[in-house]
Amino acid sequence: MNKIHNVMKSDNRLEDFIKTNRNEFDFREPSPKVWAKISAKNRVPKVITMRSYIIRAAAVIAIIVATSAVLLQTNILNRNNYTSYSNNPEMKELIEAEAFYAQQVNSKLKEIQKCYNTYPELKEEVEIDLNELEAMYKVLKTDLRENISNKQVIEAMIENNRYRLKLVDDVLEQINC
Amino acid sequence: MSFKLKTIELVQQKHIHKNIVEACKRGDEKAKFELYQLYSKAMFNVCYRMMNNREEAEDMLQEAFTQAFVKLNSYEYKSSFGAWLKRITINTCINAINKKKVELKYCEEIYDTEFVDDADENEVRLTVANITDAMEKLPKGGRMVFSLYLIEGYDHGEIAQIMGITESTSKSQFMRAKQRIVKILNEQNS
Repeated sequence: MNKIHNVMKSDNRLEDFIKTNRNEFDFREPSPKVWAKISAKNRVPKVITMRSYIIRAAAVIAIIVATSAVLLQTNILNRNNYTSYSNNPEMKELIEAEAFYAQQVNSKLKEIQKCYNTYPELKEEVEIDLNELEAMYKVLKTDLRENISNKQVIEAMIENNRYRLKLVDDVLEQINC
Repeated sequence: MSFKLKTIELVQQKHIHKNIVEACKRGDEKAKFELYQLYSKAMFNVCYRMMNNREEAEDMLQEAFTQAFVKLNSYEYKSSFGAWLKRITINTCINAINKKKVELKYCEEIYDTEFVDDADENEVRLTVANITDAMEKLPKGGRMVFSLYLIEGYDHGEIAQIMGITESTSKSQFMRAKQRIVKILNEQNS
């Protein structure tokens, strides 16, 4: 009984001591770097919103680029133009040559067409030849698409255009109407 | 009349830092630092008693203040700011301890009561340093219950809720922890 009494007494002395000296138990000091970390974290939300803004903007740009790339690609396939390749100087030359010869051939073909009434058989002859050249040209175009930097293909295509012009020139010379 | 005045005084005293808290709610960085300066030392000591380790206590202090600033808009002056912050701090520590998934060790019953005879209780020197040292030697669970009850001022019902134990476990752990501290102090003395 005496033992228990002693324990209780000590216990109560301990409790009382802690209660009366409660504030003395908060004697430790945190290091100043803790605040530095907290204030750095306080600013994090702003960084996150900026970052997410940039990510969103980047996503929008990526979608625009991807969409335009797809549109360009399909344009090339549908219309067989070479706009996306125009950075290549050889391709530039081909595009210019194509435009030049097409314009020349078309204007001369119109002159020939005026004589169709006089020489009815002419229509078929000219058109068969031109269609043949056109078919060859189509084959060359697919070759070109598969092997873009092929110099020989480009040369052949220009040669094909030259033939067409020569054909209409020759016909015009012969018919003289 | 005087009772009314006293109540008003008490309420005002309860929310002495209301202006600073309101400034913090508006995102004022200077006010946040002021609030930190007012409460960081007390909260750090809470963390230290929970974690028993300076490095972890500093991590907990950082986490607790960061969370408090995030949750500040939900603080509606229903308790004193210090009590609100202390609860966040203690929960932060408890969560960190639970995350470690290490089972909390509690105080086992002391059957040997002979030690009391070894020293006259009046000779047991009680100092803050002595008691703190003795507390640090306790098993983690017992130390947490002891400091939550006697130093942080929670009752056994609150401690049971905080620590996820029963109220009777809290009570018995407190008794055992107290006995252990007395034993350690006696041993130091003899």
